[in-house]
Amino acid sequence: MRIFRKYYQVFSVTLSELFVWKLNFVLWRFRVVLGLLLLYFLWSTVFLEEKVVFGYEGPQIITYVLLVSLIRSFVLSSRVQDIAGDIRDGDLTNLLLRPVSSVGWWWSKDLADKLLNVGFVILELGILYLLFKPDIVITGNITILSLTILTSILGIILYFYLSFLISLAAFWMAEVWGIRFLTIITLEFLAGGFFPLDILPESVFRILQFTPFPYLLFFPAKIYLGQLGGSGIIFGVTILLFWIIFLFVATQFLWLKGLRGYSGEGR
Amino acid sequence: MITKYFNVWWVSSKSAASVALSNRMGALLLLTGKIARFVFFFIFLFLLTQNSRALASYSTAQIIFFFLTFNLIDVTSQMFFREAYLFRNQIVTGSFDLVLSRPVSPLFRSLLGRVDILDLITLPPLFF
Repeated sequence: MRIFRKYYQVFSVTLSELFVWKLNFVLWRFRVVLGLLLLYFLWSTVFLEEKVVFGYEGPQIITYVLLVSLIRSFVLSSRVQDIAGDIRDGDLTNLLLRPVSSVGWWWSKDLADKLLNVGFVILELGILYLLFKPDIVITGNITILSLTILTSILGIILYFYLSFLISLAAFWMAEVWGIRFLTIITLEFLAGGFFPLDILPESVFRILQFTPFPYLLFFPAKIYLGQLGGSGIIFGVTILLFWIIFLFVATQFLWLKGLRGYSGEGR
Repeated sequence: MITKYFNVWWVSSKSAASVALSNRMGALLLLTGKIARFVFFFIFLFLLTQNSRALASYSTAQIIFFFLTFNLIDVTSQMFFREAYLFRNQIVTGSFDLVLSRPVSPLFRSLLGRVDILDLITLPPLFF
């Protein structure tokens, strides 16, 4: 229990830190809501004149947009990107001197960030639902709900190690903003943040299924919509687990390799 | 006065371009990200208009034109006002003191302190 108390303190301090710049956080959420509204109105306009587009009905797409917004709030919100700055500025030394596991430290910070974002997104989605009263798909199927939650949790783990791995580039590169920016842009689209990925040409979608990106947002949302059969879910979970294991091993390897050359430059 | 500020803008923009291009791999990845964002949005809008009869009565050509116009304005403004993105960090870390101590308007420096050379590179394709 004493171990958990340490990480709870990190979690608690991170939450306090996030509240230091309240207006900054609120404006960030405002920007997120604007993006959500843009997608909502865009897809609503598409379905004004047609019942089915890309094999989706209007309520399914609106559900997809809203659900992806919720999943994004806890899968893609993270503090792990700060590792790159800590390595570059030498601040990583502070962490290395503490009697905590580095991975545990970043998981604790991540969970605080996710909790705050989830709290806000539930409030935002609630307000949007009351304002627009959209026709959405609501499922009471426990199996589907459980699988959606389970794959979302796996998505959180996948994103944690993916983001961790990218940040570790700072051990060898002076500036990692370029690679981070490219990853954010790629993720926004290839994770299914703007549209369901199966609207892409079939050959492109087939290739995408073997990359880690669709399993962050698209896959859990697709399960919730009930559009994936048993074999599709098993295939997806297998690829998802493969990427988690691969990224975990790669992260461990590069973390240790990077630490060997780390000189705490800047401190 | 105008000449002085133009010279300040010119010198700071040149040094910002040198800094941006000094890390070639970083600059290349950033540029790739900017181009990828444009291409992804373009593909999305193209697919959308090709698979639905009309988008609020706009034709595909009109939507693409609207998208390109938005990008032109967005990229141009970001290219000139890139320094504004760094303002918060300067305030939080205290490095804004270094701006205040210089004989140049802090507002001018905080807004037009640098031209983003990478945005400049992405501008010409929008015209073609």
